[in-house]
Amino acid sequence: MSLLRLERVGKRYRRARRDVVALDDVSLTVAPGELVAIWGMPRSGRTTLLRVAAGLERPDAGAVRFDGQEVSGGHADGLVDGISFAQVDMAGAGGESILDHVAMPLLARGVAPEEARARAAAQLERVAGSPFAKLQPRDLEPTERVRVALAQALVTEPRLLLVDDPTRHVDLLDREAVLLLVRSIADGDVAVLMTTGEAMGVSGVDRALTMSGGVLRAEAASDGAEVVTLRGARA
Amino acid sequence: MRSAVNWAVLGLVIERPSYGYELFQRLERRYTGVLEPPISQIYAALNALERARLIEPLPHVDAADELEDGARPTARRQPKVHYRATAGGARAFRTWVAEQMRDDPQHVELLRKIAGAAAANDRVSTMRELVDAYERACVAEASRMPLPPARSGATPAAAAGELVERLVLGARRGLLDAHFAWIDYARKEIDAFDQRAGTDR
Repeated sequence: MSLLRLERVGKRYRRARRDVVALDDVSLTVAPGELVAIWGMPRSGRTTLLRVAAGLERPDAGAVRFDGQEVSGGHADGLVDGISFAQVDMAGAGGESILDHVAMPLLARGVAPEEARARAAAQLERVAGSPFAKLQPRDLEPTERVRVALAQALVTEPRLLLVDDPTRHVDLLDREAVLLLVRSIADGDVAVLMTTGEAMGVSGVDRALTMSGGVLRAEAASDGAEVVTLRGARA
Repeated sequence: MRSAVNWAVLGLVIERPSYGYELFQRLERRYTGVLEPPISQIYAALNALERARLIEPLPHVDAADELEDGARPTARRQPKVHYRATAGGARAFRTWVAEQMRDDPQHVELLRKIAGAAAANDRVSTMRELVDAYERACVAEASRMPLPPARSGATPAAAAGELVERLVLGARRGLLDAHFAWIDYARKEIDAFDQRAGTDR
């Protein structure tokens, strides 16, 4: 049983004076607890794929289902219940403490501040971020920002976590720790769909797919047994 | 199948159906200084490829070789057996080339040979399929690679061992990143080529 299912999803944009195909007939499933990586360059359509999966954007064609329910798309900020999108650049962070930043999704859902902060502290601990609790977003290193973003995404206890290129701004020597953290989140039974722009990002994942020109191209399972083409050469 | 001669012969047969001696001559022209097998090895390669069902004999190709009803081939002139690639042979060849390219960036040189190993009107789709196969090989290797060991190093010797392992892994990953960037670039070039060809038509 798949947790997330994209069926023949299409999405177009207007960029400058040209129509851009961001997603072209994309089909994809993610099983509960599975770690799936999409390896693609910026502008390959990888971020749009996550945004459509999250219900942040409505596809022009096809369907997105989460846990069997259709994700209708166009949710401005309120994501589908059970899905979290980690803001690895900590967009929207203000002058609040890191603890309050992590607690924000709960506060927005009307959880009492005390309980929200307690749950936020637990998630910060899970990502080895407890030492930052009293700091402010501007005090953090890139790798620490990613940890905090993951804690914030986990605070609502999602079953599916979406992460867009978590190592992009992270120092070279800190990247594997970030990837190991993502791996541990999936091992904790949260399905993860993430994008990456580098080979390291697909190391140790359950399934890796490549994307370019809005098309999912190749897929490899971690056991290396099955390598398939999702779609052959286009006419 | 490990023999480079076998793969080279298969590539030439894919390019166009052919027979032993002609393949020998073409191989000589194309791979001078790289592969220079005796003609006996060409025949051995054809046998091996046929056994593996990567090629198959063509019933009749050269009218001059066709025999009269009931006639026996003369000792002087034996009918030449022409071979063509099977669909499985064409697939196997592309997979092999993609693997060679992945293992050694020098083998991107092979691309040029592949470009030869397709009929002119089929060259672009062959290149596209090759890029797809190459990408599959790269993503399969990348996903099999482990994350480096933790920087724990119980002893100085163990830490130094981990450092070596990290650097080796890093080199392989760096190559994969370069291959991947090339795959992305190659697709854009091929798309642009297709677009131009479409506009010209």
